[in-house]
Amino acid sequence: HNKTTISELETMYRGKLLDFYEEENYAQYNSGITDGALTIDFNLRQSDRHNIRWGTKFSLQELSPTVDVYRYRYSKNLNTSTMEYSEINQSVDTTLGHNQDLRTLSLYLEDDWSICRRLKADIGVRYAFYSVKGKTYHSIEPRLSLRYLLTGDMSLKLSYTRMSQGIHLLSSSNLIMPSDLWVPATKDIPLMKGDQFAAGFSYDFGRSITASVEGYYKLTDNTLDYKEGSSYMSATGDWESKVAVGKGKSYGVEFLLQKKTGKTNGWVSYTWAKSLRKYDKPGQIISNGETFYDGNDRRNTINVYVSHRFNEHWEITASWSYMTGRRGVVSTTAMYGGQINEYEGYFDANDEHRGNVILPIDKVGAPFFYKFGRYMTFTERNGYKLPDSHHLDIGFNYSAKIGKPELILGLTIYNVYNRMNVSNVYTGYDYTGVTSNLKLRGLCMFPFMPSLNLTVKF
Amino acid sequence: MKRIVNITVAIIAISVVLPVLTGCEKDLKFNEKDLDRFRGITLNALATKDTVFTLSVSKAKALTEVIPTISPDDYLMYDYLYDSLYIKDALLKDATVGLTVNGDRQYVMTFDPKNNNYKSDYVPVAGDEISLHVEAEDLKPVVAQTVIPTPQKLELLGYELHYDKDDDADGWVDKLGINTVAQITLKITDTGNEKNYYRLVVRGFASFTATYICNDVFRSDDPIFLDENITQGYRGWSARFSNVFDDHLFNGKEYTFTVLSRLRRSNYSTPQRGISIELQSITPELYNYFKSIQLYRIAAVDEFSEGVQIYNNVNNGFGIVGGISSQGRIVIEDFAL
Repeated sequence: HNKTTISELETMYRGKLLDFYEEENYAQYNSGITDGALTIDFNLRQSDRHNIRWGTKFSLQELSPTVDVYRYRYSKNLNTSTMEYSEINQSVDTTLGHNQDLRTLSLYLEDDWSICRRLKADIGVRYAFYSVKGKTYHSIEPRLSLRYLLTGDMSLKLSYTRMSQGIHLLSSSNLIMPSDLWVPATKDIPLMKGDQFAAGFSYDFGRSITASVEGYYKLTDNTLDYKEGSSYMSATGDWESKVAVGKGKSYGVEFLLQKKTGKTNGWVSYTWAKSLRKYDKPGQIISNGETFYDGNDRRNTINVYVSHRFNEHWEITASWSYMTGRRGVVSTTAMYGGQINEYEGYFDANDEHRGNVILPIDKVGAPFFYKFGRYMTFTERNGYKLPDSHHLDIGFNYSAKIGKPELILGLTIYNVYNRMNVSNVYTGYDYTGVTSNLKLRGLCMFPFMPSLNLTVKF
Repeated sequence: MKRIVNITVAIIAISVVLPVLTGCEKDLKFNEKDLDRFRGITLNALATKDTVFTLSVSKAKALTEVIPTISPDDYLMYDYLYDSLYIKDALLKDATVGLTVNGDRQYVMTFDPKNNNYKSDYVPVAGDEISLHVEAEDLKPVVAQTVIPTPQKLELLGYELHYDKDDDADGWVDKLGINTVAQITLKITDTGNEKNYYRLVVRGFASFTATYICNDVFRSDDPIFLDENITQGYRGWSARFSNVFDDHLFNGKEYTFTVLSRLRRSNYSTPQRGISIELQSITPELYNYFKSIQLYRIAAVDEFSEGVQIYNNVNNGFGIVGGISSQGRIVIEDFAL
């Protein structure tokens, strides 16, 4: 949940409080999913060259994307004629959104086909039927993957997959108060659909070490993002009224070096990726309809994992991960001018800076920018990237058998070298006692953190 | 066993205390590449039919480069300190401004220190294509274009006065109203099949000690003003209401609608009081700019809000160069009150 006290202002008049203003806002995001599913798989035909399977799955998901909003405003003003106070006390305490059901029925048919000794294909199709309140959706999803053995150690892979999803992850681009909600497709919010093309190469170095590289290109329809300026603090409308539907495109390449056997094993992986969004349909425009980076666009990701088993009791694991910082919106630019002459209640006929438009009266309403207003803006949605993050985690596991069950006692230390990884940012003033400077500040939420865990295996 | 318990307690204590002690807040710096992206020349111009063309040129800065203030609230004084330190810091007085009209007519624009803007002797007419090229300091040169729209017709069909207790003050400005509201019926004639964009200005005014009390706030239930993105009211303006709209409900047709404007208070026994109405045809870019400003003014004070990008049609820079036309103002004067 997010909480902020926005302001508390007071001014004095002849020794008495002239006015006082206090405001407090609070929001709690609830994003639960209750999931039940029934799956049945069949082998239709099995031969030397074909393995044909089919199956069906029915799932019922209840999502509860709700936001609890509390808003409190209090003001007290002194009437200087009567020297009496008037008070305004407003508060809103409400929950926006409601539980929503998603029913999914899917059927698939798939054939593992050994075309020849070197070439293998996996050909299939999935039909999915989604039911939400007031609407049903259908999706037919072909899929094809080919694997060709170049030698006994080397193979090439190619694949195409069409996929659909009835649940969207709705993430805020606000880096001050970030939030995530899992939301379903609805009567007005369509399924997310994607087409993914991938190509890969892998090589086995002996029995235990494998190296692979895989590239992918994915086009996504019906992505969701919040519209500009949307806020639950308006205390009206649920998440559906605050989102725009658009398109996504992502591509990247993944390298993996893996050792699977022996006392010491682990892997090293590196991913280069790019993820873009575009919202340009009428009424759904974000960032002027231009392409912008997805909030989860992370250019470089490195993961290293090593585990070593000393004996039947003791094991040590270490993992290090490095990630390009995630993206979001920070108003990084202060621009001046452009204030419209629409909200001024008082015109001074002698004030040249306001254009002296008051006389003659038929000139009232002249359109012009008459003041140097200051606006905080930004160049594109998600144009600010948080600093890159990395951390080393170490775990010690002790295993022991007590009778039949096996007990594993573990100590894990997250972020061993206490790297200050920034997860939220905000703009604030650095008051030096004389002047105030505008600053961009980062908050580090996950420092050095040890934890204990106990696992019992029966 | 006792030893294991002690170790466990120590680990739990470390787990609780260390995150608290090592959690941090730190200043973030922009790199040079980002700073270049965040800075730029800002242009602001409303090229208005039959009005001498002026242009303001200022400097957009990165957030962390904004000059220090004496106190955080000083920024509120931007509006009132015309010759302030902040404006001096932002203004670009020595810019090279090239103004070209309809591809061939060149105009000289010179800095006018009295109004802190650049002035020319060019007076726009409907259909003019205006192109600006501006260079200043070591900032990236910027270009912007606009076309003066064709004005559309607005007619006053009539008005009635109603008693309406003045207790609807969403903001302090509306407090200056009286308990009378004018219900005004108007008709737009929208010509042509192309999409037209409008801003309706309905300004109530009343004489008040050698000045005028004015207020642009008006209301209407007509769907042409509906804007679902504006979820909160602002200084008397209603939520879900915008005086900037397009013709999607009446493209190429006549359209009749009603607006409500509260009359203004005067301290004269025989006040000069009235309402001025103007339908401005505006360029699509200016429409987008006004929409973004209307959203910004409610979102900027809400820390939970998604950011609002101020619409910009200045290549390599910031700001807006827009065009406005109108057939003039309709003034309803001297209400017998």
